[in-house]
Amino acid sequence: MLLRETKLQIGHLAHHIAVNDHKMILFISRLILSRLILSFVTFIYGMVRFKKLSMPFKVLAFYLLFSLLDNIANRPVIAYLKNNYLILNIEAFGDFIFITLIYYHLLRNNLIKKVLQIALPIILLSYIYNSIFLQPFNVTFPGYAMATNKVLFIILSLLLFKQMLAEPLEINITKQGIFWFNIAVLLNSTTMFLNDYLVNYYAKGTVNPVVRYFWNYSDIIFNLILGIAIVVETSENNKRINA
Amino acid sequence: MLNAQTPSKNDDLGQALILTGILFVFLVGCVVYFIVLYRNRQVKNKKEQEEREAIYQQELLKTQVEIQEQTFEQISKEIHDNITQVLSFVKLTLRSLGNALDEPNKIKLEDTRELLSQTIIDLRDMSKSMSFEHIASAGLAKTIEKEVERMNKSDVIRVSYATEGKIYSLGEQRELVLFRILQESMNNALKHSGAQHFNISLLYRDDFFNLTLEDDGSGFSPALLENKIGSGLRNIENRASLIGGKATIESAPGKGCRVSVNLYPLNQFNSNGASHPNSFS
Repeated sequence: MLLRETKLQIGHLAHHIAVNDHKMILFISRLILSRLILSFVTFIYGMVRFKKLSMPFKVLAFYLLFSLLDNIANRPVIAYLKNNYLILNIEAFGDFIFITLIYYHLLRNNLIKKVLQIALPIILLSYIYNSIFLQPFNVTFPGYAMATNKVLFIILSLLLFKQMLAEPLEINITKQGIFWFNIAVLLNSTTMFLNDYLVNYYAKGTVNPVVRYFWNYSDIIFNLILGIAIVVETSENNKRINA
Repeated sequence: MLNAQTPSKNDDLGQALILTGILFVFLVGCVVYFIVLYRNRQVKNKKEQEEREAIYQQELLKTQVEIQEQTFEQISKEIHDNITQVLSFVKLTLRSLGNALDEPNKIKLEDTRELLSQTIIDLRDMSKSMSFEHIASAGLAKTIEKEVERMNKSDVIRVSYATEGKIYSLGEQRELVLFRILQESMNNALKHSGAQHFNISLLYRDDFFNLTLEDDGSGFSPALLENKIGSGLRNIENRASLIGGKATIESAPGKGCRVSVNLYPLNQFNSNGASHPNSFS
């Protein structure tokens, strides 16, 4: 009797998990689709307003394209290679190149620009070395490259905040594309450490939805704020041109 | 096995969520703090810019006044050294011609000579009123007295002049600027208002000086201060501030115009005591 009841309970629970797991998978697919659509929309908007963008935001528009292609390629690569480490390696490279270039154009301090000019090729080479020898791209999560990226981006965003404080413009700060871009990078970089911890946690076997969703939500917020940055930048440039 | 989450995992997750929450609150706080700081810097920058603009305008005005005084000085010298000399020579030549003329023509010649004399005197007076050196040596009160005499002789306008208190020197630069304010005001009264009377009064106290200029012309509405007339009146205000004084201009349609300049002679104003009398730096 006891065994029969236990079997029934296990059956009910298994059914419950199966159903919920299916719902969860559906939800995550929708979340990923939302991410893709958002990336696509922000990229298209950037391309439509391309001529009105200043140089750093032109680079940002291309970064959005890179991000979109990266997101699209994720699933097929996982299906083919059984993991997405290759995509993550490419993402680490791309993030580094594009974001550093954007900050290179935004920051006005010549010393920082020189440091970036020297550091860019050195760090790129170190990423390549990391991808081949230390954390091979086909089998290992590129933790070193991603962590380095995040630390670098935090430093660059703080430097840009410092520059903004030293040379404030007359227009409202919420109407400056630089402000929104910087916020996006800072938020994304600081929360990604937490995300990596949660991903590792998830990899150890939890089914908690908050853990699964976090990566997607933070990516959506990142793309949203980048979109705001481009919209604000083009509208302010429009006003300045028409004035 | 069915429940993959063990209690310790739940605790870890709880901690992670709390950490996330704290992190987000901290980040949002930092962003808000940054926005407030930025806004304060904007206000501070704007203030500094306005101050720099005011200093720039002041320096520009000083330069303009300097150039104007140098021009006046040149014209004054030209009138005194050249034009009046030539006219005096013409007057002498006419006298020598007189002997060869009949009686009616002699009278005409005499009239012409008198006109010439008057012109020479007027030109000399004008030259003196333009000359910084003359104003500086005679002092403000005496210079205004001469100017009043000159205006009253011309019969274009009736000028009255009064002083109150013991007259003392306000300094060459201040007195020159005050005299120029008087000239500007009188010009305005003659050109624009159709005034018949013009009153000048000087009030001397130990720590206070006042120059008041009034006319009985057509006056103007305060809105006209923005127009061409206004720019001349704004010039008066700017010149007064240049010497540490304050000019107030009151007028209404049909009520004439009143310019009052207050000065506190004991207060410092921006002068480094340059040797050139026309220098305001």
